[in-house]
Amino acid sequence: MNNHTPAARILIVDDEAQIRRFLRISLKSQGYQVLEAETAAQGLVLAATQSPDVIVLDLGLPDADGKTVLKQLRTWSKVPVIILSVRETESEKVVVLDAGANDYVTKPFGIQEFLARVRNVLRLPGSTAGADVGLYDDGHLHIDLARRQVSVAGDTVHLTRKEFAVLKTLITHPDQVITQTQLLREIWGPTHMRDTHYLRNFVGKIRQKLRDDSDEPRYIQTEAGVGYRFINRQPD
Amino acid sequence: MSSPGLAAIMRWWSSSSRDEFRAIRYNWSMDTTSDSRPVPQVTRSGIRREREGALKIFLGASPGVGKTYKMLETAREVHREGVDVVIGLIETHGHTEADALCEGLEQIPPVQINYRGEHLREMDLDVILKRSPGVVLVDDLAHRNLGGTRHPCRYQDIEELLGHGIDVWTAVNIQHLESLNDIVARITGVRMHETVPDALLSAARDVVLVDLTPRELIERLHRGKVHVPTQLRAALEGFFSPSSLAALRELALQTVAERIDRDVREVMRDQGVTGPWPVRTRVVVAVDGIGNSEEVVRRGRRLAERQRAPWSVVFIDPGGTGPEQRAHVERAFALAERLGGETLTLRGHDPIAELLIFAREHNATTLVVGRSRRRPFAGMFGRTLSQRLLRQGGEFEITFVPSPAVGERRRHRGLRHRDPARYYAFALAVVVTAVAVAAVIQPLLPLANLSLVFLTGVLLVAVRTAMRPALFAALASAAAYNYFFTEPRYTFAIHRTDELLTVAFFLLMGLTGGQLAGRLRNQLLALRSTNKQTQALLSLSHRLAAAVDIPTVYREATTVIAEHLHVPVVLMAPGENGRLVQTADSSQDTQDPGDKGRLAAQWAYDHRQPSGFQTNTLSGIAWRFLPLAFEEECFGVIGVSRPGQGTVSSEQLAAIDALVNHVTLAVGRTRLATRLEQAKVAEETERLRSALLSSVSHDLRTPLASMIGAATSLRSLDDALSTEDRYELMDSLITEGERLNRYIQNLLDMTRLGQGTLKLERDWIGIDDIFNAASRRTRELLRGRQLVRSIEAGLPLLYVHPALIEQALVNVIENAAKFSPEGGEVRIAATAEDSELLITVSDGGPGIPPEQRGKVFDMFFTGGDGDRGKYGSGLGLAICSGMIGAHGGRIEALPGPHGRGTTIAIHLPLVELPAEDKEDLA
Repeated sequence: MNNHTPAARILIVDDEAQIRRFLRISLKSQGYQVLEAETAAQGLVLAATQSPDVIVLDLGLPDADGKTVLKQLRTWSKVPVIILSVRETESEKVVVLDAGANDYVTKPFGIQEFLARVRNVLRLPGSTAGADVGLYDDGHLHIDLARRQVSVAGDTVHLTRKEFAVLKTLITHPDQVITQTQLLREIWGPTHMRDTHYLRNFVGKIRQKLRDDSDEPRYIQTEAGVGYRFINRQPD
Repeated sequence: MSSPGLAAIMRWWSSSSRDEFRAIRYNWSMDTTSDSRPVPQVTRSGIRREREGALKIFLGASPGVGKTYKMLETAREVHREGVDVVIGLIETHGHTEADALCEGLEQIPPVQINYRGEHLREMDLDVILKRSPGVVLVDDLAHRNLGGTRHPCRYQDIEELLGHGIDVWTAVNIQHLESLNDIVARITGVRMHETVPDALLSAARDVVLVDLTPRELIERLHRGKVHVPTQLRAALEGFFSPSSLAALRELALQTVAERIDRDVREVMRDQGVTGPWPVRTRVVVAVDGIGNSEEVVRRGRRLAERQRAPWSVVFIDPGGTGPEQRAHVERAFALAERLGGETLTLRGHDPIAELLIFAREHNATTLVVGRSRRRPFAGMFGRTLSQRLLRQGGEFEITFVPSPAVGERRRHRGLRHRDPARYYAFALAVVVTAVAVAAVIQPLLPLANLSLVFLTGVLLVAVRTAMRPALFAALASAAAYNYFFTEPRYTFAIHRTDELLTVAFFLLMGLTGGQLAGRLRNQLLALRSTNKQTQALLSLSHRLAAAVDIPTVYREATTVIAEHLHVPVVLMAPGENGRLVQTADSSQDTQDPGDKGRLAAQWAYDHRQPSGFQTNTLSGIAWRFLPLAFEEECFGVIGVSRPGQGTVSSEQLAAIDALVNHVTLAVGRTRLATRLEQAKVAEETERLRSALLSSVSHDLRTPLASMIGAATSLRSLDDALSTEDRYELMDSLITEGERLNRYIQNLLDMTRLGQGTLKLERDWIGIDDIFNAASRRTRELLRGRQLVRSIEAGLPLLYVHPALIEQALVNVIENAAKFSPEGGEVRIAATAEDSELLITVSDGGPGIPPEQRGKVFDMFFTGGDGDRGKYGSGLGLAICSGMIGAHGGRIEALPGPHGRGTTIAIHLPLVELPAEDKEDLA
């Protein structure tokens, strides 16, 4: 079960006791160490003193705005952050993701989804458990980032420079959401951060080339209103 | 109050409430010297329409020149070109050629009117309006309508047609023009009574001169081709003489020439060609109601026209003017308004001074005055008015309008105000008393001083009655003094010089004193009258300002106006379908203005113009309706009943206008206030709604998140979980489910409370039962905390809706649990106080700051920063408050025991057990 040797430490910052409870139980059962904080202030203190490997931050804290907490955190820490949010307003999520959060889960959520996010985020370079993503091969899709080669079922696929850049961003954060603004800013620069329709067409083209444009894309998943996620289908 | 001040107030008061009204009515003449052109959308009758109809006038010098013929000819031409032309009313008088021209044009049948036994035909205005043609031909612009029609004059019918966007062609003779009335009378010897305001001619789009030389006209007359109106038949010779016709022809040509001149100037102005525009001056016309006031007005107007200056007609009221004089002034004013001038009434005892002040203030350059009648004693007591005017008004150009024939003047003298006979009787009585008193005190005083007794008498008469009886008293006293007291007694001869002088000086004093006192009295009367009117206005203002809703405004309005005018007043406001409905009236029983009255009221409302007596519309009824018009809206009409049979003075009409203005403003203001209130309520509702939405979103989802999280954990991580873990998760499921239930219950209760559908089903229940139920429901919540109960023994039963009180208590306990630290205490207690049961729930938490203690019971009050407040969804305590309140109790937040934490105190009223039950229980 554990694919990392030292037990990762996870800090849960949420004011709802019941939510902390089931998260604690579940995480502990998977071998993680769990720290709990009820308020943002407490959370920041624990983050600074206990060096958690992942922070799970609830956006509905009574004493602070999620974005503010994140901004503050990011001034001195790169620790991965997963946000819990009840909000349906996608723009809120995007704001916090752009402010430095790595992924999000919307309440109510199933435990499996949550655990997957945690695992994924722990694989990031910069966390104690790193992973090398210079090469992707799941038997169907093969991507060599260094040599800029992409092939699907053996056939070479030609991607334009920008298309490749988008794919690269997605693939270097496997299973993690990348916000639209992030993609647009990286590829097209800060002046195009609002051209989400453009991005949508773009991703559609990429899907087409990867022969992944059926109703249920296998590789590039759309997180409506937030961004896109590349699903890692490599066997473990 | 000094006289100039008084005059200034009067000036303001008379003119301000009328200016607006005039400006709409006769837009063009007010603007003759302003830079902007008249606003084309506002028609002569004040109705705003997209496009006003165009008026084309066929002008002739006299009957018989062929105006009707020319009009019909032109109509046929345009009809051939496809224009929708109809004949409204044409009098061909059996002229076969004209009749032939009528063929082929649609004729609107006239309406038959039975007038004093005669069958007459009048133009059918309503049918024409309904038909709404492009152009309608209406002959004889100056015609006076007979009884039963909407307007008294045909030109007003035509104005209404124009106002509805219908073009009108009409024909008129030059002699019917208002301003030329006097000149025509002098030329022809016949004074026209059917007149047409000059404004109509000036505002017409086209004026076509139909010209015929006098010789040709006379020829036609002899051939019997001219229809001579009844009025002229008697003066046929005079009217149709070559010289008269020539003069009339010249008049017509002159009028048209002036018009062309004006048109040219307008074109020049439009194209930016600067002309020698005159400096803005004004012509002031003074009328006194005694002399030839109407002619003075006409003269003034011609002068103003020539100078292209605005003109005003003023009447300076020294007080004590009689009704006949006033009526004369009214007629002159009415004429002035028709001719397009401003009218004002000034108050002041010195007409010349007032006139000059007014003229100077208004930058007048020319004064037009009627020649004053010769006054007796003029030489002795000062110059005649004319002389004084010439002397003091040196900076003005003064025109004296000659008075008409002597016969007229003699007639006018009879208009002088007569003092009642009883005044003279009083004066006589006073003199007699004075004689008696003097006789009695004669032994005590020297002769000369006896005159003081008589002087007292004269002053008494002056103060109590009027000036002339006082002068009479002075003369009588002098005579009596002479007769009874000077040597030789009982004769009118005076032998001693000193006594002669005494009598002479007494007479002097008496006359002067009498005059002064009389003048003072007049001033006082004028002041009182003004005061009364101002008071009415003030009173109305106050009462309207205090009125908070529209019905009150209406009520106050009708009451005050009725009180001031001493006549019944009604107010009609639009009902559902836009038609007027009587809303308020001044007397106890409902006034009914009658069918015609309602028609007039509706007309006034639709056209936003007054109707009824002394207006141009439906003037035969006994009511006058004034619209309450405010900017674009019309709120309704106020109807004023006519007092008695006489005419109402223009002052009173102005007073009514001012009062109605006030009412309109008050209604406008109240409406705005209501709308503001509604906007505020809407804003508040919106705020609550969005708070509710965000609350629902969050507070429903949170327990669900825990439930789904716990359930999925149980399912997927089963093998990794210990038994303890499993039980914890399952507990979590249950607890959160219950919490969800509570929240949903809260929402439902809140909805019911809000809608007022919360029904109390009361029952007798003990507080301990309620406590038990609440404790059971909150057990999980209170885990880790101590619940301490202290219920007083022997508490009476509560008569309440058990579930609601239980819910309220649960909410309070939930709140306390949230704020109690781990291991802390939550205390609930119940005691009886007087007629109330007091329940308290205390926690040892951080407490509520004093300034928020009242607010915690507000809906959605959470009192914290951040995404969500500290105190929960904000509904719980609000619902408590609602439920307790529904039982007649109250709830409050207090500092906790020993000043730490919070205590929520609930007071519930205790109800007496019914007597029989008490006995049963005993």
